[in-house]
Amino acid sequence: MGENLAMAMADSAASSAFANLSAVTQAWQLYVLRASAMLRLGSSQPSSPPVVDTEFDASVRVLCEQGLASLVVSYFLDALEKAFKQHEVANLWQQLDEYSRLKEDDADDPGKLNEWVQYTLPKVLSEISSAKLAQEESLRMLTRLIYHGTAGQAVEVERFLSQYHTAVSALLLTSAPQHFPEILNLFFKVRLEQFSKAVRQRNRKPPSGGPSGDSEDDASEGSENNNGEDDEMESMRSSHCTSADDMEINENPSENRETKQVDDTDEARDMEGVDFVAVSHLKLNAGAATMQEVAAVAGEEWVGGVSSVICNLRHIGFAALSEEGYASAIYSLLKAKIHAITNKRYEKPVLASVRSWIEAVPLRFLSIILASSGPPSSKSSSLTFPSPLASISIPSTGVDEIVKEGVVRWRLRLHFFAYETLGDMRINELFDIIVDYPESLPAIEDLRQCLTNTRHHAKLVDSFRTALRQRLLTAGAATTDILLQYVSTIKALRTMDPTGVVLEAVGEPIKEYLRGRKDTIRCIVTMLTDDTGGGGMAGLGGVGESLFEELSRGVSSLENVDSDDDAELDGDEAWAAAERWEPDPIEADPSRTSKSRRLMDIISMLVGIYGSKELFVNEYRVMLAEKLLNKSDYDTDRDIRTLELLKLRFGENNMHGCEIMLKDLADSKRINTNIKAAVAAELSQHGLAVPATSSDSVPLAGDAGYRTPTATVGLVDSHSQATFMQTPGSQTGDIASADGDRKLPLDVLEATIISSLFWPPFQAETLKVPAVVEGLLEEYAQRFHTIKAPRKLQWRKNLGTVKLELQFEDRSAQFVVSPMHAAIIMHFENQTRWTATELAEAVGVPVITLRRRIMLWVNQGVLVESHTVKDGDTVYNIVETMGDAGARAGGGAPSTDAALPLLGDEERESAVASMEDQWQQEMNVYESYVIGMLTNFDSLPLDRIHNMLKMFVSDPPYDKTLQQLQGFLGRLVGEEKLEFREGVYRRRQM
Amino acid sequence: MKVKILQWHAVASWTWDAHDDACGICRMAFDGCCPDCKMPGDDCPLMWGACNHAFHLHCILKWVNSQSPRPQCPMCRRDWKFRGD
Repeated sequence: MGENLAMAMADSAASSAFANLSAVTQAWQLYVLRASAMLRLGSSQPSSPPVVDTEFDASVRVLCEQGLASLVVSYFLDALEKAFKQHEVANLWQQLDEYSRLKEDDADDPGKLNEWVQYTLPKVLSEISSAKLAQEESLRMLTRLIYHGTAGQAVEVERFLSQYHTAVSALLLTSAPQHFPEILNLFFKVRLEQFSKAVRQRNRKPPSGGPSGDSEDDASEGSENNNGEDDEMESMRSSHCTSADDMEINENPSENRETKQVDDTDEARDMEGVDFVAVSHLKLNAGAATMQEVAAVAGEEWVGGVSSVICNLRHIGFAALSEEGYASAIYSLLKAKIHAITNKRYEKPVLASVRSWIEAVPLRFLSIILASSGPPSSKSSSLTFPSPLASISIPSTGVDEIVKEGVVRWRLRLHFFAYETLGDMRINELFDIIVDYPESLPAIEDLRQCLTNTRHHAKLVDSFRTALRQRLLTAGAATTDILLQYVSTIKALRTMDPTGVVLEAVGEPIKEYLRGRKDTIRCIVTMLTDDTGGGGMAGLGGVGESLFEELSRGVSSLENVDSDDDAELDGDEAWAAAERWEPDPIEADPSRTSKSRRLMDIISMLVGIYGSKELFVNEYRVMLAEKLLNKSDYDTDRDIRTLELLKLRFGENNMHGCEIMLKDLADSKRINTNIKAAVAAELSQHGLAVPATSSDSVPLAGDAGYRTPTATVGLVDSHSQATFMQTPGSQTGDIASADGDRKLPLDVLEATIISSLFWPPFQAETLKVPAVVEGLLEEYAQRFHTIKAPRKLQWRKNLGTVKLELQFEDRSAQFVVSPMHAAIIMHFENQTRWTATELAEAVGVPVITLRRRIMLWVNQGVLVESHTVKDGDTVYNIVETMGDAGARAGGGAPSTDAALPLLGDEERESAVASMEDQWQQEMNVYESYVIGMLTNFDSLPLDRIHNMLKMFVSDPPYDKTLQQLQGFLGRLVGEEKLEFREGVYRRRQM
Repeated sequence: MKVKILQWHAVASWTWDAHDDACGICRMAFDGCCPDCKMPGDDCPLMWGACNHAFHLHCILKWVNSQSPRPQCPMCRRDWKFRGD
């Protein structure tokens, strides 16, 4: 290389000064020799200043005089680079090579590796850095020598230095082994963890390092500690205090900072004011966190270590790489923190803690790093922050400014990262969050904040839909559970996204699924009207109540949806409304207006599952009818209230039937009272001694609602002369049975008198009640006829409830049962043994029905079932004594508790025909049409039948869907009336 | 064994017992109410004529008032007289 250069130089020199050739050659050789000696020297003694010797000096001067200055410098640079490569770089990587070996050896013991990194990395970095420093120095010396005295000396020096810098960086970057970023990452990770731990420890003990503001600290920390149960949380929360503490330190003018600090702070404050509305004042100075206060937390040594590593890295051109290293360390720590504090806990808001943690740990860590990265010139500031997130540009005037700007950008970056991480986590857990809904409100609020920053709504919708499909909308989930979850979802998503767009997207699958369930409407109605905390729905009481509350709150919204209320606004309001207008979010379904989305409340959404309120209203009517018929008192207060609320929501006309039903109940109560009063009056006219209390008690019983018979018994028994009026006390019972044909007093009979046209159709069932009761019913009807002539009563004997007491030889028990059960058991009074057939005859129901119903008494241990040998008929015997029961029925203990559950509720079919039964009745009309059609046409496909029905059946008009018809035809196939082959239906050939 | 009935809560439906289903004037069911009424029963009673035809009270009154001076039964065209008058 030296020869080549010499030749080239010789050529150039030949033209101008041939005579000097030998001198120049000589000088060049001398220069080369000296330069390489100097470089070798420099590398062996990195700290010593390069020796300037005269020979070198002279030779350089000679060469410069010949106009070969650039050649001299480029040779020198080349040589520097070569030397650096040979010695320093090789040495550096060699030392670090140990990393991969250690990593493999101690895969399960990261401590050792960490230790090694902590020890080695700073060492080798400082070595290489000082080597580079020495080389720089020699380069500077050379250039100074060359350009001594010229005007552009400083510029030239800078130029060559940066040239050198670039060359060395390139060399290092290209030769860096793959594990070098890993090492950096590990280093920063460990350091950051140390710092974080130091912060936490400091927060745990009362802050003593703060020069001022201790009392304030104590107070605030005390209050924080009250609700901080968890270490992490506590440390995060109390880091607020530390920040406050820091602020005080920073404002202390004794800090060795420039006097313009106050201005800087103000500037930072303005900046944050723009970017972070919600961030507290505590972090106001975080951007200017000083070395001192970090040192106070983590120790001088720690700060020194970190900042020297950063300096050295930057010095050798690894600024970008080191940024990557600490960034990933910070991110991973932040992520780990978020995961640790948020895992499966939704009762506390975490976002604020995360934010303050970001202030307390990573940003202060960063302020060290950024401060160590300085002092950069204005040119290199862009190099320090290669990824500006915010478009804030501050004229960089000093280290503080740079640090501050960097911290602000990092804050933005970290906050966004926190939002993203937390948001993703919460999105994935959204299902569980909503399961815990009212308690998990803080989590939802967090998620809302995250979403406003990240706009991950689409992701939320996708993820939540998947969760719903997997976890909720399965065959195994009870409809009530689905509904409850739906309600919670509605509420939660309302909080999170007031526009309702997300809800709309998420709710669609739930609605669709619920539409496919038969009992959805029934469940909704039950939830809406359920008595608070009542009966079997105890588990749902809370939500049922909340739905009921919902019902009482959101009034008349359904009626107003269509009305254009903009028209009602006057000019100013309309203008204000127009100003407030915001376009729908981009995800919104354009076919729906935002108004409809917002106005829908929970009830409307639930009812809207079916798209119409008619179905809902009908189901409510059926359920109300059932409920009213099973009432043994006439207390309808709650139902009236519910009905009033429903009327507001669904309109008066839709609820008309229900209103009449409730009125029937009230009328029944009045009539009942009148009849009883008439009886009492007759009795007193007949001169029978009726005690005043007793005659009073009858109308009273009517007025004050239902009076329990036991209470009446108590009253009557105290007046022993009362005979006829008594509800059967034990005496009367004895007397009556002695009579054989005993009479029941009219008092025991109460009636609900209904306007049958306005009630849903009832299950038609014949029932013969015992003669005693029959007589009673007739008498009651007669009395009704006298009061309300010319109206008559028609008894629905199978409906109602009977409260009775069974008196055995050794025990007695009270039951509340249906009339049929009562009729059955009453037949056993005179005859202890019945066969099923005979009994069915006597009761007037089919044997199958009888056998099903009688199971109640068998289960209660009142009757025993056995089979006769000869004809296989079932025989029922009364169990007169417990001993009998124990011996024969295997100890079915009769219930004697006073609670009197309404027995047989489960097995008793509802008295009212359900909507489905009604629907089947409707469909039955078409059976003859279908059969007729298939007689004429032999075979028909489904859609032809459908079309023909549509064409021919006009009274009532055929309005069923194809699916309904298919279901109906399927049933006919099941009943073996039709058969279905090759896509066509035909009559089954007998 | 003895069965003691403590309370028998029965269910019955009332009817006007008009030997027909619907009012000849409004064609609404007798056991329902006339188009002007909301509540059946006492609020919308039936009225029988001397010819034994029954109508909702409100319906037949309207008819009678519009037919003065000599109202006839809408069903049989005999002179309308309220039964029992």
